[in-house]
Amino acid sequence: MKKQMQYLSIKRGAAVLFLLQALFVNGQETPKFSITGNMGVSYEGYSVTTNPTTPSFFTPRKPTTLIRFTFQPVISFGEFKLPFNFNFTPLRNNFGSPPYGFGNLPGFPKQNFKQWLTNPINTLGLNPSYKWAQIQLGTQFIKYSDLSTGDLAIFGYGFSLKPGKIRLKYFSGVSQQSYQPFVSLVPPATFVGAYKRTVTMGQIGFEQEGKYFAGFNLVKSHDDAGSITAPLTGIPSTPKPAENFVLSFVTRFNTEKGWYGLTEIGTTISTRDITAPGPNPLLKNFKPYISTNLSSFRDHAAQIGFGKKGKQWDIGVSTKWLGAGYYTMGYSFVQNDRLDYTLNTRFNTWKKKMNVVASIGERFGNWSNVSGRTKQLIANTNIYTQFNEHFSLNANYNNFGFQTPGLTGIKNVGNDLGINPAYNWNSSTMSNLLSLTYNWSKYDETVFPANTLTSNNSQTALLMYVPTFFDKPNISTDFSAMYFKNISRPIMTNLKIYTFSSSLGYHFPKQRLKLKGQLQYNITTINPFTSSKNVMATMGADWNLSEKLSWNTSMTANLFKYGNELAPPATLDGARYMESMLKTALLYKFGN
Amino acid sequence: MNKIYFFILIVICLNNHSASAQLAVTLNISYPAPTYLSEWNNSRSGIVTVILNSAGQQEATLIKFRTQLQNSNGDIIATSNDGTARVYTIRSGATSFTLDKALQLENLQFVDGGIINRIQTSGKLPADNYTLCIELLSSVSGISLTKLPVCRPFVQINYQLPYLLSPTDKVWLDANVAQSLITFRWSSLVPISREGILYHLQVWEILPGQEPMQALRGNQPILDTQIRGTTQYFWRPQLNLKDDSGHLFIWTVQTLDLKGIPVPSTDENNQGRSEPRVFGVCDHLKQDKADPGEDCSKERKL
Repeated sequence: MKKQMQYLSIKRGAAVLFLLQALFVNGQETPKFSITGNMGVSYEGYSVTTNPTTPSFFTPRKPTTLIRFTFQPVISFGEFKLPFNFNFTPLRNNFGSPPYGFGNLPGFPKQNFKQWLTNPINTLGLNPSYKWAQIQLGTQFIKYSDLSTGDLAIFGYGFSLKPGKIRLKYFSGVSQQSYQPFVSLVPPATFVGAYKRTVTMGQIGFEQEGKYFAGFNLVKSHDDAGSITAPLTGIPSTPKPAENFVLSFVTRFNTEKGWYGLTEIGTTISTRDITAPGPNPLLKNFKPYISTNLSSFRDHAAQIGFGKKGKQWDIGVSTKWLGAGYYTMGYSFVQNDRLDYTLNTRFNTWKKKMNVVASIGERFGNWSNVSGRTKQLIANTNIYTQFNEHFSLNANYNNFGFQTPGLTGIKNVGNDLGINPAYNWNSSTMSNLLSLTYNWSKYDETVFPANTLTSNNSQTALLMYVPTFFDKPNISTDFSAMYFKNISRPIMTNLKIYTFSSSLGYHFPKQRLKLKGQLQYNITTINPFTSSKNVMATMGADWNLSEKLSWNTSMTANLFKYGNELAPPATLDGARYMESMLKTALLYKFGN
Repeated sequence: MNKIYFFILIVICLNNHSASAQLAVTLNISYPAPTYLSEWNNSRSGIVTVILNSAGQQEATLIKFRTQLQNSNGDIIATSNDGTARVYTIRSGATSFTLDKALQLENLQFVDGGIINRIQTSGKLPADNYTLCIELLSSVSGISLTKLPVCRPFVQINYQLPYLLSPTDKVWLDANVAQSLITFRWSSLVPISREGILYHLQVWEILPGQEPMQALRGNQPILDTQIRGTTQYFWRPQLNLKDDSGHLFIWTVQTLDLKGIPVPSTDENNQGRSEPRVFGVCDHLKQDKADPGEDCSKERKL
C-alpha cells in the first residue's frame, strides 16, 4: 500500500513537472516564466565633528544613517506581468512636505503605519498586467498630462485599460496623510499640521501607439476637513482644507516624417477652504464634480507645441498660458498667471562637423495685470565644432533678462559666455587629452526707483589633463585645476576659489573589481578675510561578486578649515569641521 | 464754515472711528490685506469692533452691515444689498467681528466687470489700493446707527513667487566645475516687499530610484541656507560628484517675510516655495550633445 502511494505521488509529481515543462519551456505558443529586475539594500552613514564644538557654526547636512531597501523584480508569465516597485526607508522626517523637518523634534508623535505607507519618501507599488489591462496598486506616479496631474506620489488603487485604440484609466488614493499640529516649547517650534489629501483621477481617450492620442482627463483632489481635530488659527496657522477639480483635453501626434505636436486646454475649479460658507454668487456649482463656496474660483490654461525632427536638423515652437487662478493639486508648485513661449532648433552644418543647438523664449509673469507684467527673456546657444580628429571647440552663450515694470520694478540681467577647446594627441605608448574651459558670467540686479545696482562679474577657468596608457589599460587617471573669481559691486566682495583635483582608478578584470580614488584641494578667499582651505578624499570600490550580485562602496572625508570670516568670537578664528561619509550598496539582478 | 465741516469729516475718517450716542465702530485691516478674499475671515487679517453704550440696559440690538468698496480713484466698485444682509446681535460693551462679516462677499454687488472676472478666476481682488467703508444699520428700522460710514484704506498686493533662473530645468552641469562651485540665481519676489524678505534656498539630492518630487518632499536638503538682499548664491558643494553614474538634484527657493512666515502661494501646503527645478552633475559630459537633456548614464536620467 505504501509503495502504491509512493508510486502514485511520484507519478503525480512527474505529471506536474511535465505540465510545468510544457508550460514554461516548450514552443512559442506556451507561456514563458521569467524574472527580471533587481533588488538591493543601500546604507549611507554620515558624521560631522567640529572644532570648537561651541558655538555652533556648521549644521549636519545629511541624516546620520540612511538605509534604503529596493525590491523591483518583474515576474513574467507569458503575457501576464507582475512588476514590483518597492523602495523604502524607515526614515520618518520629511523636509519639503509635512512635517517639514519637525519629525525629529523631541516629543513629536512617531510616524504611524498609514503615515509611513503614504510617506513621499517610500514607494510600495504593484502593477500586475495581462495583455492590455493593468491594475495599479500601492504607490504610483501617474502622469496624465502637463495641465492635469503628474507630480504626485499617490498611495491607492486603480487601473489602466488599453483595448485596441481605447484608453481608459482610473486611480484613487492618498497623496498626503494627515498630521496633527504640534507645538514644541523646547526648542520653540510650531508645526501647523496637514490635512489628509485624497486624489481621484480618470482618463478616457483614443490612442495609436507612437502616432496619436486624444483624450479627456478629470482629476479631483480633496482634503479631509475632519482629519485635523484642532487646527491652529493664530500665526502661523494650519493651512485650510482645500478642494480642486481639473478637466483637460489633450491631443498629441507624431508622423513618420518627423512632425510632432501637442495641444492641451484645461479648466480648474479650486476651493481654498472647504469650510467657508456658500453659495458663491459669482461661481456656480459644477456638480457632481465639485460644489463651490465663497473661497472658490475657476480659471483656464492652454498649451500648444509643434515641430519637426530630422536627421540633420530639428525645429520646434511651444507656448503655454496659465490663468491667474489656474491651479491643480497634481502640480501644486506650478506658477500660474503666466504666458511663455520658446523656439528651439538644432542643426548640423559645415560637412557635419559643426553642431548648433539654440533656443530663445520669453516668459511673462503677472499676466493678468497688464500694467504689472514681468518679462523674462531666455536665450541659449551652443556651438560644437570638431575641426579634425585632434581638435574640437565648444562655445556657448546664455542670456536671461528679468524685468518688472513701474517704479517698484526690478531688473535682473545675466550673461554667460563659455569657450571650451579640447586637444588630444597620441604617442606610441599613450594618448593625451587636454581640455580648457573658460566661462565669463555677468549678473546685474537693478532695483528701482533708487536705481541701486548690484553687479556680479564672474570668471571660471578649468584646465584638465587626461592621459591614457596603452600598455596599462587598467589604469585611468585625470588631473584638473580650476580658478574662479567673482567680484560684486557696490558692496565690494571678491570671492576666489582655487581647486586642484586628481583621480585614479584601477580595474582588476579577473576579480571583476574596480578601485578608484579622488583627492581634491580647495582654497577659498572672500575679502577681507583670510583664506579657508578644504581637503576632500574619496576612496571606493565597485565589485561584481558574481554575475548577478554587485557591491559598491565609497568613503569620503572632507576637512574644511575656515579663515577668520566667522570671528568674532575669536574662538571661531580658524574653526574647522570634518565630515565623514560612507556609502555602500548591494545590488542583485534577477534574470540573465 | 463748510471748510470746518469738511475738516471734521476728514479727521473722523482718518481716525476710522465713528461715534453716535450709542455706538462706536473701529475697523482695522492688516497690511497688506489678505491675498485671497476668503481669508478675510481670519482674525489676523483685521477686525471690526463695535462698542455699544446702552447706559446700563442689557437689551440686545439687532444690526446689519452696509458695505461699500471703493477703488483708488474713490469710485464705488461694490455695494452690499441691505435687504439680504445678515443680521447680528450685539449687546452692551464691545463686540468683535472678523472682516468677512463687514465685507460680506456673499452679499456684495460689483459694478466693474473686470473685477468680477478677477474674483471669479483667482479669488483675489486685482492688485491696487482700495477703501472699505462700513455702516451699521438697525435691522428693525433700517436706519443707520453710525451716522457716518467708517472707512479704512487697504492695499491689495498679489505676490508672484520668484522664478528659478539658473541652473535651468533639466540641464547637466560638468562635474569638474560643479564639484567646486554651483551658482544659483532666481528672480526676486514681485512686487518687492517693503518690509524686506528672506530667501530660503534648498537643494535636495535625488537618490537612485527616487522621483524628483519624492526627494524634495522627503529627503534632508543637502543645502539649506537663508539669503537676504540678493538673488544669487555660490554653493561650494564639497561632495564627491565625479561618479560614473552622475548625480541629480532638485532645488527651490522658499520666500519668507522677516518673521519667517511664508509668502502666500496658491497651495498653502507649499509654504511659499517656488516651482522647483531639476539639474544633474555629470563627469563625462559630452560636448556635442544635441539634446541638453541627454542622459548621463543608464541609471540617472533627467
